[in-house]
Amino acid sequence: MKYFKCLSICMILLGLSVPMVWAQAKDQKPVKVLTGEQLYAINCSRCHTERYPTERTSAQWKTILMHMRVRANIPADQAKKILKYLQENN
Amino acid sequence: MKKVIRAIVSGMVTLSFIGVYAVPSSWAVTDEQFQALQKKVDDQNQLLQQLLKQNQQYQQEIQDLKQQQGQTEQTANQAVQTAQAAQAQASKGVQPVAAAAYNVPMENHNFMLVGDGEVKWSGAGGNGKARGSYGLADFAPIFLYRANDKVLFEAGFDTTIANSSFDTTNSPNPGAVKTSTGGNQGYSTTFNLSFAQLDYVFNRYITLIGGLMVLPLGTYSERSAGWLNKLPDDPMARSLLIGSGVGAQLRGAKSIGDNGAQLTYSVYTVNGGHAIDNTSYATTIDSSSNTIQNFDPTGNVNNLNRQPSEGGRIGWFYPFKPHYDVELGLSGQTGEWNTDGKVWQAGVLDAAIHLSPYFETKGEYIYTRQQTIDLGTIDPKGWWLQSSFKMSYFNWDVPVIPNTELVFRYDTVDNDIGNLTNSAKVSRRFEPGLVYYINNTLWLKGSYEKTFNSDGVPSSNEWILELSYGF
Repeated sequence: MKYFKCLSICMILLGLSVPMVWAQAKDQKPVKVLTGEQLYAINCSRCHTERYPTERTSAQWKTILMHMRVRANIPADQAKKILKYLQENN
Repeated sequence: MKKVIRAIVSGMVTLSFIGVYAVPSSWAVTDEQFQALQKKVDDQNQLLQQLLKQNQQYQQEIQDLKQQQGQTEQTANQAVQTAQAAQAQASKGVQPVAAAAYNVPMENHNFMLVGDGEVKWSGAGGNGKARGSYGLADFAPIFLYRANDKVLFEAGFDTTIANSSFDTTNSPNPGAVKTSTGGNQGYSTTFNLSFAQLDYVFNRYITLIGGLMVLPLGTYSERSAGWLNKLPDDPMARSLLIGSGVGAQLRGAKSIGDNGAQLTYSVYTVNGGHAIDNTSYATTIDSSSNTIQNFDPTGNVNNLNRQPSEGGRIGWFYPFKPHYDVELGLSGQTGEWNTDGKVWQAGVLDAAIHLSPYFETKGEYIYTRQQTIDLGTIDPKGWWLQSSFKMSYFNWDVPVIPNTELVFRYDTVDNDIGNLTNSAKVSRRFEPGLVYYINNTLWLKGSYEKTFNSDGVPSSNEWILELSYGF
């Protein structure tokens, strides 16, 4: 029974996290255009640790971004900006 | 009148005398002077002749040069005519070779090797002292070949060596443990093709995929397996789903607004799962006399049922800023799982929340429905919820701890059949763990699993350590 209490606590924490996200959103100023670096942080870090742009060459980043665009279903316009950021900083 | 004529004549006579006697003696030309003058005239005549002769030579040279120029112009005109004729001939039937073919930069195509590798140690506990052993070594490379900006071929392999399960079912001595006596009795080596797919980027919103694909039932298979997983093993409920399949898929995404929000979709058709023994019974018996579930979610290369299966996922992702986001997804698959026309269906609800770079919560609810000949329609189901917190949040100036992430997962599964040889009808598992980031690609993961089973099946626990490297 105590495990269901633990489970209930987890569910409550998860439920509380949603209004926390909304609260964070209210504090943010609206961003007009996201940079490639911001889109990189938004899209890539939600599944894995961020890789440094210097880890790959420009041609390799092009291949990896094509792979990740398909695997993670990243929109084409965002993938293009992320690729540009990685290629300009490698 | 006569006087006038006479005066004129007299004047002229006078002038004649004046002209004869009044001219000075210096005006007279001597013979020497005359000869000298004659010589000068002769010299000038000779010089004039030389100049005339030289002029004729110059004229001749000019004529020769003009002739040579004419020949050069004629040659040039012939060359132009020849080139024009060749161009006209080429335009008729022979296409010129594109200059770009010789100047294709290497970055237009590329071959890459990425992937991950793991080494796992586990200590299983039960009714007695726990036994520990190195249980798994896994190398999972992914080959990527980008032919051009629209075509990518990707193939993932999974090479593992693992300890074989202890099988005492057929032993004459109760409690006997089979040990390795040579050969490969104590371990097994596998080499699997996890996926091999050809991706064709049709346009900004549609990508066509064909081959052996990782299926988008939830997000775990595509985004959390292997090196990306913060715990060393998979949620139990994932065993209810098909991980990959042979078929075709359309997928894509569209940005919603300017803040990075996305709407994603995937639709696919695959051969689908099938019955292990080609019957419609819910369970079957394997070669070791174990009672196991008859539905095989892994052996889906061949189409052993009558019709292919169809499925898809639709997802919504909304970031408030980097590292603060919400994602929701709904996916499912339906199709026959045997030759009797019995249907297997699955539905998955997935969610993920990030609250800063330090905190993450994600999970899936998995529901399946399976028509059987003996138990009617059964509903195997389960869910898992995982949260993690990075200790770097506290910014403590101490070793080790800032590189550590705490993880906790609860997962449960209900096969809706009953107790099987190696699993209970219902299992619940609590799994606290941690990740130590040696760097951004090399992780040391550890967890403690406590599993509670239903219907009298004893609970179990296990320690797992895993070193994981992503490349």
